Amino acid sequence: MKRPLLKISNLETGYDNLKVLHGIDMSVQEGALIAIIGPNGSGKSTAVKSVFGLTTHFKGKIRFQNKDLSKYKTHEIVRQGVAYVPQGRLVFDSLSVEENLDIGGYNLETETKKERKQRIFKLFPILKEKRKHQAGFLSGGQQQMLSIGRALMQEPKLLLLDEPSLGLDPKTQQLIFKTIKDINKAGTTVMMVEQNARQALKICSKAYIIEQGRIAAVGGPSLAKQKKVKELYLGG
Amino acid sequence: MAVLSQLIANGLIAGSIYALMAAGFSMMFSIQRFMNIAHGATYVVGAFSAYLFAKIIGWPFWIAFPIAIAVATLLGILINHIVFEPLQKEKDKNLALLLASFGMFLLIESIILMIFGADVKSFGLPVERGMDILGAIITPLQLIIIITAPVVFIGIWLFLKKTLVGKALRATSDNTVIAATMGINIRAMTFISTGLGSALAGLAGILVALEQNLEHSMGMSAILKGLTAAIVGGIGNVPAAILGGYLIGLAENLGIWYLPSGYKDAISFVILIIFLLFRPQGFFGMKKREEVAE
Repeated sequence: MKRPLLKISNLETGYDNLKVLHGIDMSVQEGALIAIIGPNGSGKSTAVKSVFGLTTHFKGKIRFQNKDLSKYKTHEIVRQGVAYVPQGRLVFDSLSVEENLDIGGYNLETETKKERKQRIFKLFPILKEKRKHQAGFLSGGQQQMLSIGRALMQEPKLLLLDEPSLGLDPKTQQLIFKTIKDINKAGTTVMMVEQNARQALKICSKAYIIEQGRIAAVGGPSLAKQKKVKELYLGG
Repeated sequence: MAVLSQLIANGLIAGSIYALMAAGFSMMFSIQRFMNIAHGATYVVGAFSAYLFAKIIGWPFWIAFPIAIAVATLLGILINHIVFEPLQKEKDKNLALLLASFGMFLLIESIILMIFGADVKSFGLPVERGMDILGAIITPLQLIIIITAPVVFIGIWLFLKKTLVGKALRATSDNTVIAATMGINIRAMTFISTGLGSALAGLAGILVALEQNLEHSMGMSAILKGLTAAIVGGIGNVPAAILGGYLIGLAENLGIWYLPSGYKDAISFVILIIFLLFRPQGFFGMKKREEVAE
């Protein structure tokens, strides 16, 4: 069996002295689309943020391509090939769309950056149209596209998304899920925290259910057929 | 009409100094997120270093002043590195940083007092005849102040707008956590913003020292006006802070058309209180969105 791209073992993390995750294990194979679902406050976002060193680390290992990510500072992790799309579409409000993408490719050579921007504009034509607009004034859907586009500037091996559909209208949600699926099909491994369990289970190759900081279930899209999952996360 | 022109000119001169202080203060605040009172000390050190190099040692201005600005810059960076950076890790960091910056301000002011004494100093430049510009009498030195500040501000604007480091500074100011996830080294951004902010304070100190006198206690008034201007413009936003500086300078000077000149300071602080009560994000500021949700 192939070595996983990301392996999380017995991870305990949280914020300051508060422990949120109580020893979780996850394994992400290259090319997978992983969905993390669970109730509010269960620690889903904490799991993704832990990969990026945005939490307090108590115990456990996060190995990416066999490197211990907990040894790296947040700004160094992106260079290892991991990119992050935060919850709430946190684009840089005062920067233009194009400047946001420039920052997404902060460590890249000018030529590479130009070429990648063109690719992002191809993926999200609306961003090209609005390239000079201040990001803070874009619609929610456009900000999410920018947030994803900004992360893709690094052409990451692993893309982490925290609640990509949160606060978007159903039509834009569909577009975002389709885009995530396309990004994955194009070869990027995706790990996505999502409230919309129905959609997440529809597109994922593997799902983790986190409850109270512990892994409650692991499985493929067939998890959607389980009675408990249906009742708790898919509205019966 | 001549009175109005003169008051506007005086407002622009004062506003240039306030804007320099406010821009530096805001630049640092936008990354570090605390009220750095020690910024007033770098202003004093800039002024007294210029006095030491140009007046006491006798170096020409063109050598003395850039070195004085470099001294102020270095001081700002050192204070940040030795005092503020370790405190940033504390849980109740905001109060600790505010108190520490005030302590550093008093310490440096006392050192200046020990070295240079309490008497008022002057560069002793010859009194020059003022020029009549649109009815206002402006000395060549005042004209230099009025022109220097906008030239510096254009430089800052170009740096923030056109360079990748400038964009990274703006991104960090928008959201430090997300900027770090983009690969931006926040420590490096703090270093750059502190250096630039301190350089602006040093320059402001030199300009005031040339135009007026030098006193070891000159920093408190400068930091209060800089802080007021930064808040009125929109704290953490450098162009807004600059406009806030000019706004305060003009309001103070136009205000004394009707009020006794002793009310100058009161005018700016009344404006500050009004803004804190009714528009805390400042005249040009936007309300910030939350950092990464947990």
